[in-house]
Formats: sequence, C-alpha cells, structure tokens
Amino acid sequence: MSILKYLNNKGKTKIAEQNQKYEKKLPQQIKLSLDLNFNIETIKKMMGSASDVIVREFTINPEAEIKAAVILIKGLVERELINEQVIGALMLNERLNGVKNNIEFFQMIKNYGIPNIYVSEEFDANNIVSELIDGNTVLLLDKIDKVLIVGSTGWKDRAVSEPTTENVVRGPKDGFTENIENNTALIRRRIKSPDLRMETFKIGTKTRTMVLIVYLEGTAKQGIVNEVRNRLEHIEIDGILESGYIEELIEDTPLSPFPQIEHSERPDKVSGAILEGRVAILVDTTPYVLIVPTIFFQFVQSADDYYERFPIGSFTRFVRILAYLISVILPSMYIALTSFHQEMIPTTLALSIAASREGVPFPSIGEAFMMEATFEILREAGLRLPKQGGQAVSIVGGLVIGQAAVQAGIVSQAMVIIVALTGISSYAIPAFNAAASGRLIRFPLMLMASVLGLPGILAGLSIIIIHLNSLRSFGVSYMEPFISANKNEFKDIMIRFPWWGMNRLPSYIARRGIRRVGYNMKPGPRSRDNK
Amino acid sequence: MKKIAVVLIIIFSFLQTGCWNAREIDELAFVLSVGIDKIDNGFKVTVQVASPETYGKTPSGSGAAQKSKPFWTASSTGTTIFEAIRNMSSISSRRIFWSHIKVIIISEQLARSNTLEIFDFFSRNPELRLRTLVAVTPDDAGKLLDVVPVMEEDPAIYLEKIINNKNLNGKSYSIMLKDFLEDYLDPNVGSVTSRIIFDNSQSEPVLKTSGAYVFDGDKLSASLNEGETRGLLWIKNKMNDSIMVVNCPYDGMSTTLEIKKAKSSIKSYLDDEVSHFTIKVDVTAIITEQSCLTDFNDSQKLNELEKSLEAAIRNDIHSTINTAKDLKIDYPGLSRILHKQHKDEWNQISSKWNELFRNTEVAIDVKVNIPHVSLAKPLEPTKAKN
Repeated sequence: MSILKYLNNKGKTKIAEQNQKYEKKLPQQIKLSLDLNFNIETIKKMMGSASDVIVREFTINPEAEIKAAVILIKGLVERELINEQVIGALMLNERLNGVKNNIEFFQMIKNYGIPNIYVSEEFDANNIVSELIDGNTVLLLDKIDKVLIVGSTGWKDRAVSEPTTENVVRGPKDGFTENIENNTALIRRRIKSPDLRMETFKIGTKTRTMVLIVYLEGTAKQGIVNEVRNRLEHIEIDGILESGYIEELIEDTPLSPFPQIEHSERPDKVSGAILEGRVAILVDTTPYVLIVPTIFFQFVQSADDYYERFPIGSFTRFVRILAYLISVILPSMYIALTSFHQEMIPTTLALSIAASREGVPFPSIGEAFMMEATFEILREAGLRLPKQGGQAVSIVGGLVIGQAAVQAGIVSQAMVIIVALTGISSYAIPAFNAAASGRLIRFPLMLMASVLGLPGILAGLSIIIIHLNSLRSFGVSYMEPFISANKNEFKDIMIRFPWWGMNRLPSYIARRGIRRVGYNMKPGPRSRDNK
Repeated sequence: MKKIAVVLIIIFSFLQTGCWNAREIDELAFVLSVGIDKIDNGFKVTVQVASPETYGKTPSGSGAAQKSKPFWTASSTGTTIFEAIRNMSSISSRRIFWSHIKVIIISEQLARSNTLEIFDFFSRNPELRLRTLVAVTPDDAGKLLDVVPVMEEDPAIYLEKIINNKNLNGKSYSIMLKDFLEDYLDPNVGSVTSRIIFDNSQSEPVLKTSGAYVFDGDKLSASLNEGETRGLLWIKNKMNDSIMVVNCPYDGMSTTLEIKKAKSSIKSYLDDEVSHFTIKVDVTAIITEQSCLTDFNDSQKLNELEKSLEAAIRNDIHSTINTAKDLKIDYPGLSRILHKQHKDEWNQISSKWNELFRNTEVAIDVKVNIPHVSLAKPLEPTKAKN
C-alpha cells in the first residue's frame, strides 16, 4: 500500500510542477493605448500577422471624423452580420451625427449603435485576441483604450444528419454534429426543464476547447456532478481534439480493457441518460458526447430497446448479451473442446469436426489465431479503405477467408464457421468500444484454452469477472446493480421492463426515490378514472 | 525490469507445462463399438472405428464413395483386455479414443466363462462412459461389427438405435453399463443384457435384437425368450409405446393394442421368511388394428377385450417370475424391493435370499383401461344384395 501511496503522491507533485510551468508561460495583461493604429498593430502582432486576420478601417461620423476599425478572422465570422450590424449600422446611423466626444460616442455605440445580442467591452489585449479566435469581431475606436466585442461567430457547419454509428430501426434520426451550440440545442429541445444545467469549461492550453457538462439539477447526485467538475478542472493538456482525450484523462482505471465511460452521438440516448441522473460531457468539435457514470450493462442497451414494445426490446437485448458472450468465449471454447475434451462433443458432431480438420497442418490454436488475425485485418482494412474500394476488399476477403483457405486445406470449415460467428457477434453490440474490449480479451482466453482446456477458460473468465467487479466509474460500481443486489434495480438490465413497470430511477445513479412514472400506470381497457 | 522478467517467466512456465495431454481431434480414432471374443489364451478385442471421411461433407463427395466400407474394424489379441487394446496401437496410426463408445458386445462363449475382467476394465477406465449399452451375442462379436448397415454410417449407431427400440416391439431388452453394473455387483440380483443375433432372412445380413440374457453372478446363465423379456419389461416399467397382440374375446382373431401408458408398482410384505409381492400394473391402451368383427363400441365387449389383455400381461409376468424361480436368479430385482420397503427384515434374511427366492409368492394385479375406441367400426365387407 505504501508503494502505491508513494507512486500516487509522486504523480501529484509532478502535476503541480507542470502547473507552475504553464502559469509562467502565460503572458501578463497587455493594456491598450489611446492610439487606434497602435492598438491595431498590437493585436496584429499578437496574432503573428496571420494572413486570415482582416482589418477594416473606416470613419463613422464624417463631421467628427471618428476613426474606427474592425478586426476579425476570415472564415470564423458571418460576413453578412458584420456588414449589416457593425459597419453598416455605424455608417448609416444618423443619430450618431451630433456626437463629438469619443468616450460618449463609445457608450452610445454600445447601447444603441450595434443591433447584435452579444456586445461587450474589453481592454486586455490577451482577452481580445482570444475573443477574436472564438470568431467574434473586435471594434476599435480612435482615442479610446477599450474595444467592443461583437458576437459574430458563424462558420460553415455540417448539418444535423443521421448518426453513422448506433443505428436504430425505430427512433429519431438526428445526430450530434461538431458544433457544440447545435448539440446543446438538440438536448434542450428534448428536455425542456429549467432544471437542466450546463456548465462550461475551457480545456486545452492551445486549443481552448469548450467542454460542457450537462445534468439535471435535483436528479443527478451532487457528488457525481462535483466529481466530474473536479476531474475536468484538473485536466492539463495542450489540446482536446475529440472527446476521447477527455475520456482517457478522467476515467477511473485507465489500464483496464473495458471502457468505463460510454459515448454516443445520439441526442435521444444522451437525453435519456441525463433524465436518469447521469452527467453528459459535451466537447466542441466532436459529435461524440460522453456519459458518466457508466455501468457494464449500458453497453448492451440500445436506444431501440426503449422504443419497441418491451417483449421485443427484452428479446433483442438478450440476443445482444448472447452475442457478447459468443464473441468472447466461442473460439476458446472450440479450442478447448477439440483439443482437450473431445468426449464432450456429441459423437456425430465430433466426427464431422474431425473430418473437417482432416489434413489441416496446424493445431487448432494456430488455426484460430490465423483466422482471427485475418478477420481483424480485413475488418480494419474495410474501415480504412476509401468507399469505392470497400467492395473489393469484402469480395477478396470473403474468398480468401472462406472458400480458398478451406479448399487449400489450410483451415477447417468448422473454424471458418467459428470465426465468422464470432466476428458477426461482435458487431451485434451497439457500442464499438465495448465490442472491441470483447475482442481484446478473446485472445488471452484462446491462449488459456489451448494450454489448460476448459479449466483454463474458467480461470480466465474468473479473472475477468473479478476485474469487472473491481472497476468503478465515478464512484459507481461497474457491475451495478449486481453489487447492490437490490431486486428493484434489475428492471433495465437483462430484460427491459415495460415503462409502466419501471417505477423509479436507478438509485445507484440518480438520487434516491425519484419516481419515473406515476402510480398505477399499467394500461388496460378499464379507464383509470373509473377505479 | 525485474517485474517484467518475473511475469514473463510465469507466462512461459505456463506454456512449457501445459498441453501435455492436448491432442487434436483429428489425431484420434473414435471407437464407436467394441466386440470381445474368447480365444484360447486370453481375449480377442475388435474395435469398430468411425471413419471421418464418412462424416465429412466434401462438396465433390468423391472421397467417401471410393471406400467399400464406411468404417474401419480392427482386432487384436492379448492375455488381458488392456493388453489387447494396447496391442492395437501397432496397427492403428491414430490414438484409440474410447469416450464416444456406444455399445459393448460380448460373445456368449466368453460371457459364459468369466466376465469379471471385462467389466473391471470398462468400469475402471475414466475414458469409458457408463452410459454405454451392453449386449451379448451368441455369434462371433467381432463379426457382428463388420456388418455394413444400410441406413446408418456405422454399425455402432445402428446397434444403439435398434437396442433402444425395445419399447416399440416389446421383445428385447436394453441396459446401460451403469445399470448393468449395479445389478452385476449385487449378490442377490441377476443382471440382464440385450441379446443381438444375425438375421439371415433378409436380402443382406442384418443385426437383430431378440430376447435377453441373464447373468448369474459373473457368468452368463440363460437366455430369455421374447415373452419372458416382455414380462421383465412390464415389471421394470419399460413398456410404454409398446404393442400387445391378443385374441378377440369372441372369435379368436387377433387384435393389436398399443400401450399408451403403463405403470407398474411392486408392494411387498414378509411373512416369516416367506416374501410376498404384489405387482400392480396399470395400463392404458388403444386399439390400433382389429381383424375380428366385434364392435367394441359396446362397453360390454370392450370389457372383455380389456380382460383378455390383462390375461396376456399376467401371463407374461408369470412366465418371467417362473423362469426366475427355476433359474434361481432374481433378475426381476425383487430383492431390491424388499430391501427398500423392509430394511430391517431384509438385513436378517439377505444372506439366505438365494434359497428363499424360490418360495416367494407373487400376486399379479393388472388393470387395463381402453378409454375409447374412437368412431372406427370394424370394416365389414359389404355383400352385394341381389
């Protein structure tokens, strides 16, 4: 234990040192002067005279000759908006004509010169530059050491479209985009409660990426929200390009093969999680939203389960659990049975497996590794290939894996069936990262099976189950509700209970005792009022 | 570094010690049935090994067609069974694998001399399964396994199926090794096995189940005919789905009845060393074939039919009990009933059971119920009226 503590503290002191270094790098406050040209030069210099910084100088009041300038970054702003609401509005505003004093003029512009929602004063050049980078426009006036920041963010965005992952048969077809404002709107449109809280973080010393945590006040446990806040505040990194960066920096057990944070690009799924009391972490520039805390069984739940009637939802969920087990255990089971426990296979099946292995030069473990490797390569190649070539890969891959390898006597037909079934099964799991974890633990299990047979598989599975039980995600045990073992919490695990039966929110995530549906909601021919 | 080295050593030591008993499935010769014959100084063991080509569904199908026999039989000799089996490795390229064995066939000649060694081997070896069927043949056991069945790939699977058909014909017996050994090791109960013979009446020689064999201790003692076997099946409660042919009560033509439900129970009491048994059989049957012209929709006549079936069943059981008494072998297992129902008294008389068995009183109480005859009436040839 003392060693662990030592290692822990060692890490912490390192972080503290790093923090100090970062702080030193930050430039001090730079004040603007009263000279317009000097100010423009200052800002330009801070940006390194970047070619996409545009400066437009103009005169507002022809009589008073008040010189002004706008600075903006090409591509990040809506040009129309600047033309109409800043330059146009100031040039054509006749009420400004009589004013001579620049300071008075500055206030007038702020109050009724610019018809824009977001207008604010700023005097520190550092802040001005960061506002500029955010896509806002800076309006400078001569003989004033302050500027006005005009909100003008607007760039070409991908429109809301159907999510490419997590396909559903029935359910909304919109998906998150790379624009965080868009994404928050998609959640707000679903949860129209004033209790919906959004808190902003800027993470990344270079990228200054906007990160939002979204939760329902009064439903989410305060402890969990605080923990999320805490962990996000502690992140020190130069840049966040995808929510995966955040995921890796805030998860509980980084060395585990199992993902402890779920991600989704479906607004309905994220909204459902928020309603259950979870915390969503939205990251700008990526459509993938993180959901914490996460339990293991979330990965076999699909949005469909809740939209279809409950017998169908429960059945498909059962199929998914089965598929997960198959994708993890089947190859090792095959190896154990064919090379150790031939007596456990029914006679006729044993004989046909023996017949199909006739003349195969490799032991079954070698055969299995070869085929699994081939399949993984094909899968990876299929993902990376340009869309036009995808078909060629599948045709060649199918032929190589299937027909040709069997006919050449390199692999047995039985093994082809096993590998194909395993591969297909791993696709039945909606979460890609959970399916990938299954693929990762499949290989050690295969090794164990080839060395020790069924006892080996048993040992391997025991280790995995012990590991799973030791995992936690933001203070919630990963194997909940099996840890708290409260029978009322099992309504959304193996089988999906009907909505009128899922009375309360799961208490291991949400606050205790919050009802989800009203009393006596079970529908029937008798109307409730007549009871 | 040290940690990594330790982990690597652990992993590699795993790989070094493991796999010592791993064997690929295609390196095994699956024995499906074994025949044991007596020779002058020991045993001749014949194994029937499944040929994987027979089970492989190759698209061209040429591989299987070229072989004349879809399986392989090999025999070897030795002074003990295990020696004979080990001698087989000199002719079999693959390791002989016993776990899928279906049937053990012993020749009658061998069974009449001494069987202790056989059953010791088959119950001691962990690779052998106790669910294997046991049968005895009056012919050469090795030759029996050479018969090429028409509908199955292997004689073993063929044998397994015909032995398990006992409840369809009601004229033969089937027993698994585990049940056989239970009787075999009980000094008061005689064990029974199936009896397999060649049937040469067909166009090509086939195997046939017929009757049963009774063991007295470790030696085969007598064979049961089909009626006595059926009586045994009645007592052992194994007559479901079987049929009985009885004469019609009025004109002596035969009628076939299918047994839908049969349940037998045995009650016993001891009266000063004389044991009394009541074998109660409850039968539900239906008429499946009728050649007499009696209309059984009449409950009176149906009653008569039930009576005659009762008589036939009673007759079967009687003959079984009488044979057992004549042979002085308690193969119906009555002593076990006594043991269960009167434990204390049984402990006193168990040593003398072999003599007491002859004086046993057995009452047979059969109840037959034919619940309906459906709407079918006997087919009557209609004569053209002039």
